[in-house]
Amino acid sequence: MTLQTANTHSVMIRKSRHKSNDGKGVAPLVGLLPLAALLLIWQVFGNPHSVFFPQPNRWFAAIDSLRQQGMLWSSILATASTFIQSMIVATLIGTALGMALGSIQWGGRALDPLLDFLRNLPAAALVPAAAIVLGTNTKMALVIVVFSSVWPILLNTRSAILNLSPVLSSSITNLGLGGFRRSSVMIGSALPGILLGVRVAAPLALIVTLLAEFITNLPGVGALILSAQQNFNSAEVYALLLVAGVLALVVNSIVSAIEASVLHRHGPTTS
Amino acid sequence: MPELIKQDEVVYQVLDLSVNLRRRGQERVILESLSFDVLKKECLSIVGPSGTGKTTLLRALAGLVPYSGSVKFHGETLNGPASDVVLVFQDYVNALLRWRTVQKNVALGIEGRIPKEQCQERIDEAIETVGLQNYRDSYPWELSGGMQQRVQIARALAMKPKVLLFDEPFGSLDAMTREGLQDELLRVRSVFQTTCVFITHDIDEAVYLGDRLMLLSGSPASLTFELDIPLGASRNQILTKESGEFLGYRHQVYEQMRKAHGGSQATG
Repeated sequence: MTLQTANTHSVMIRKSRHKSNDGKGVAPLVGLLPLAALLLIWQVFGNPHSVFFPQPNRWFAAIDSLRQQGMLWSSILATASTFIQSMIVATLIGTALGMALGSIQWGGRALDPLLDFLRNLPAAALVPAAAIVLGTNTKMALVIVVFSSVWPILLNTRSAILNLSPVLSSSITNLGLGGFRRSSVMIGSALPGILLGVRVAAPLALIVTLLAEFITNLPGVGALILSAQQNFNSAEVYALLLVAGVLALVVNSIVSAIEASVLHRHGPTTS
Repeated sequence: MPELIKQDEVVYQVLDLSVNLRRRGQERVILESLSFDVLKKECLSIVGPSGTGKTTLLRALAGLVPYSGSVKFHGETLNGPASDVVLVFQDYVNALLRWRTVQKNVALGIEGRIPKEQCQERIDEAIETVGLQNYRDSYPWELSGGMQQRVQIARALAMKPKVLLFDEPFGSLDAMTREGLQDELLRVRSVFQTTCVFITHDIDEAVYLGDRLMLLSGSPASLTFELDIPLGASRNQILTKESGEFLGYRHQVYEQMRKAHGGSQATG
C-alpha cells in the first residue's frame, strides 16, 4: 500500500517535470485556500473597531484608496523595476564571476574567507555606507540589492562549474572547443546550478528592495508601508503586507516557470 | 619489420614515452618508457588490468597530459591537444551534453567551423552510420546506454578524424549491447577506414577488434607483450570467436597477462 503510493508519487513528480503546464497554474491557488480561510475567519470574528487588528475588508478599502490616489500601481512598478533590474545585473555578474572563480583551480577555494565575509554583510548595514557614497537614489538601491543578491548566484555557479565532470572538460578540449564555444558549453552544463542560485537570490532581492525603500524612503511599496506605519494607518500596513506577499508569490512563480522551461531539456535527474 | 614500413604509413611514432602525474602533492610515475608505432588504418588494441594507466596513455596520445619522451603524430611532435584525434570516453553520460538533442550533440565538434550545409550533411551521415536516424531530436537521457554511446561515436565520426581513440567505450554496457556495438565498430571502420586505438581490459574484446594487440602492465606500466592478429576485416561474433586462430590468440594474451600480473599479485 505504502509502496503503491510512493510509486504513484514519483511518477507524478516526473510527469509534472515534463508537462509543466499540466494544471500547474491551479495548484498554488488551491494551496492558498488556508490563508483565504484565515482571512475569512478574521473578517467574521474580528472586532470592527480594532486599531491593531483591522478586519480584512478595511485592508481592501485602504488599497482602493491608495489606488485612487494613484499611489498603488506607481509604487508597485517602482519596486518591480528595481527588483527586475537588480536581478538581471546580479545574474550576469554572479554567473560571470562564478564561472571565473570555478575555472581557476587555485583561486576557487583560496578566496572562500573573503566571499564568506562579503556575502554575510547585512544589507541593512550597507545602506548608510552606500547612501554616503552614492546618495539616496535608485542607483544606490540597485547597488545594494545587486550586492546582496549576487552571492547565491555566484556561489552556486562556482560550485556547478567546479563539479562539472573532468570527462566533460576533456571532451570539450579534445573536440577543440575554446573561448566562447567552451564557455557556452560550460554555462549550458552548469545551468541547473546557476538557476538554483537565481531561485535563492530572487526572494532575497525582493526583501532587500523593500528594505532599501524603507530606509531611504525611495518611492516603492516599502516606502508606502513605512508612511502607513508612521501615520498609524494599520489597515494600510496590513494591506501593503498582502501586496508584498503577492509580489513575492508572483516572483517565485515567474522564477519557477523560467527554471522549468529552461531545464526541461536537462532531463529528470538534475534538479 | 620496421624497415618495411613506409614513413607515411605511420600515424603515431612513440619513443620512450613516460608520464608522471602529481596527485595530492605526490609525483607518481604512471607510464615508463613506452615505445611503439600506430600504423595507418589499423586498429591497435591495448589491453591491461584496470588501474595500469591505459587511460593516461590514451590521454597522452590525445595531447591532454604532459609527457616526457617523444610522441610524433604524422611526423610532428605533439605539444598540446592534438587536432584530428577524437577520444571516445567510457563515461558517455558526462561526455555528451544532456541539454542538447542527439543531432546537436553530434554537431558539437564541427558546428560553426564548416559551411552549414556541409555540416548538416556530415551530421546526417554520422547519425545514419550509427543507426540513430529516428532519434535525431531525442535528448541523451531519453536513450539507453548503448544508444548514448552510439551518439558519442557519431559525434567522433562527424569530425572526420585521422585517429579514433577509444577509452573502454563499451565497459559500462551489458554484454549483449557490447557485442552489438563491437560489430557496429567493425562495420564503421570498414566504411571510414579510420585508424583506431582501442583500450580495454576485456581480452576477448581486444582480440576480436584489434589488428594488433599490446599488453600494458606493471606499476609503473610498460608494454610487456605484442601480438599481430591477422583475422581479416570481416569478423563474426560466433564464427570468429570459435575459430582456432581466435582462441589461440586469446590463449596467448591470457597467458602473458597472467605472467605479468601473477608476479605483481605475489608481491601484493
